[in-house]
Amino acid sequence: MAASTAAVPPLLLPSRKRNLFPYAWLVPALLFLIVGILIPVIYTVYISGTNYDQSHLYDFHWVGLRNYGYAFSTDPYTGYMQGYLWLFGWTMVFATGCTIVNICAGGALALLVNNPRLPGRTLFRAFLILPWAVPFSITVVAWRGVLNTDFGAINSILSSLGLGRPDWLNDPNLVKLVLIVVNGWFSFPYFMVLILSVLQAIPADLYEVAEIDGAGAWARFRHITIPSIRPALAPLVVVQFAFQFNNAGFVYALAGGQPPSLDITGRAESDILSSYLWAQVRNSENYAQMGALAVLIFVLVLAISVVNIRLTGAFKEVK
Amino acid sequence: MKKTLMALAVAALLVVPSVSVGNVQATSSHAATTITVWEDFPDAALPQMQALANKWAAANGDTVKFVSTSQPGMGGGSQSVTGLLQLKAKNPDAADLAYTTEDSVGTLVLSGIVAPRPASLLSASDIAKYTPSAIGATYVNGVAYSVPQVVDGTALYYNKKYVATAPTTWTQLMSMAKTAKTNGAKYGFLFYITGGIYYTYWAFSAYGGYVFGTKAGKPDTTDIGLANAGSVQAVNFLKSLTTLVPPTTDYNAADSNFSAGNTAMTINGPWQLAAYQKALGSNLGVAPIPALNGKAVSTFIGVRVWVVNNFSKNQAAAWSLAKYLSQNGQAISGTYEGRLPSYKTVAGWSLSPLQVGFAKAFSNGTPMPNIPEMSTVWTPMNNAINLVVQGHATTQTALKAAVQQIKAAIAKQHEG
Repeated sequence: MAASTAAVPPLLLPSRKRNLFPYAWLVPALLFLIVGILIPVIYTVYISGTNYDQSHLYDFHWVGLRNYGYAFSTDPYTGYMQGYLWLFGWTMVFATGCTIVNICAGGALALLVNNPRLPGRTLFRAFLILPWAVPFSITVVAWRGVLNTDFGAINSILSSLGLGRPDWLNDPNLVKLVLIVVNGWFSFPYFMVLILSVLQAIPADLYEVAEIDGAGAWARFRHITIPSIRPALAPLVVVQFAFQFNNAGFVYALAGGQPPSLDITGRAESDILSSYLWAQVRNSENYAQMGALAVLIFVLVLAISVVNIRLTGAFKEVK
Repeated sequence: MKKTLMALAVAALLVVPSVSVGNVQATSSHAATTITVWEDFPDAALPQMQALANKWAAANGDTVKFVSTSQPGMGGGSQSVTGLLQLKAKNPDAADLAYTTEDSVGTLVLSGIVAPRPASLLSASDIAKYTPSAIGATYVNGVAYSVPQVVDGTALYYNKKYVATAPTTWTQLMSMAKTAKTNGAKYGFLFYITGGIYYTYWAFSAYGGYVFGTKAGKPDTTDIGLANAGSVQAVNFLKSLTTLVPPTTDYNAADSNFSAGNTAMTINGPWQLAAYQKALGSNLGVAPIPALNGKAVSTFIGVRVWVVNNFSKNQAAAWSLAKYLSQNGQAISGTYEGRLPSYKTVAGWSLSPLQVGFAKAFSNGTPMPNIPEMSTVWTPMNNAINLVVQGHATTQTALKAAVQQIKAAIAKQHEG
């Protein structure tokens, strides 16, 4: 008979007692989400069904799924499928390559800097943070200067050694290599710091016990270091891959839409999907077709991320 | 609750009066207006044109505001007047009048950004004062959309310190360039080789390449001659010039080296005449680009025109200003802008001896087609020429791909 009202959850109480205060705190964030994200997305999907471009700036109209049709067609004059496939291929290679290079470089340097017997450890750590600390937009221009074929520092050294002057930013293959390497230069400090903090959390006695038991350096690395880093790395890999997949700013800032391809899409050999999209919108005002491409990229990244997350178990609850 | 109601009431009181005041319009027949002009005049010409415009303004009771497209906030130096019109024509602070190139008027017409020229603006005698090619360039598909100001194109500048008389053939030019280098010039010949087809059309014309063929006196956009045998030979010739000209030479490198006296010869336009005269003084010479393949070459000539923003509320005043600047500014443009007047003759003024060199060069020039389809030609051809000259593609492949890109872009323009 001692039925207690204390067991009734608060939400089932009469509604006039429900507190609206927490919802008021959410309003600014919700406003930002709607105005800054939801409305632009809806607008993008809307214009992807119109013919809004340089020849129809003020009088565009609805054309249905025509732009999506072009995205999947191989017509010699209106078929962009081939160009988009090339872009997609290079974007995957770029994202994968960057993820591998960044994490391995960061990890390797973290391991080196973590060594307690390394002289001047703090000095190394300070210098190695620099690429992360410098302002990106200025540094990338400096890199363009260094990589300049006729006047850059790298080619001055190479030509004085008799190795010629490679066309770093204008050769279709070299520019791809340069993009991954320079991206590594910008990105490794972040991973170095992250992995270093994880490494420092590994108890030292694990290593001591292993050494006593006779495990060599490689065995210690394989069985202690790697499993300790893995849970932290898995979500990093997913996030880094998605980030590099859409890293239009870096690609366009360094390669500048060069060298041009022979494609009717107007892409550059250095372009990833998102940098191509940005260049087309900014330089050619090709809004409608790029709206369609943006929707397709979104679907693609969503699919890849879901696969990634499932495969690596990155966001599984730690039991 | 009460507090929120109070706040809302105060806000409403503040907003409502300002809205109703804004609805009160001036009803005089000619309220003093400000005409905004977007332009990209060279530094020497701007104050002169402003002074001329102020004369018109004083007579009309209006004010004229010149906005240079190299101003910050206007998109930076690389934002062309055309680009600005495309992006901002509907803005409340957009220009009423703009100074742009006639070949870009075609694309502006497609988007309804420029207004047709009123039939009453220029009488038959007004029109007769312009050269036929200048006034002809104001018509897009038979309708006039602009008022001409000046004519420009490219020709050969040479430094008399290294080159006594201008070469008349390219073979002569190449050997003069080599001699100039032994005489102390850093570069025998340097020009904006990455500038695309505008700076290299002369080569195409010499070998039989062309942009659009003609059918019944009008440009035929289905007949593109940019990948024919002549064009291939032309681009191969350009590639052979890389023994003299580094393949990545941009405008600044060519321009600054000639100004500094490092280059014996360059190709550039009359807009740089004042700057080069200042830099080289009496050592400056101007001549037509030498003959190639046994033929006199033909460069692209363009006409700079005034267009009126179709969304402007001051169109009549803008047209009046355009007519005034064009009719009264011929001598000013000729002297300070360096470009050639679009008038057949300008009373009380004549071409300087160097400008005569340009006039000779332009007498054989090809006016750029100002149809909308012309805007699709630049980027593909620029890319193709750069790819070949820098050794990343073969001529045939690159030009064929460029023509395909042009056709694709034209198809997109036409499909509506």
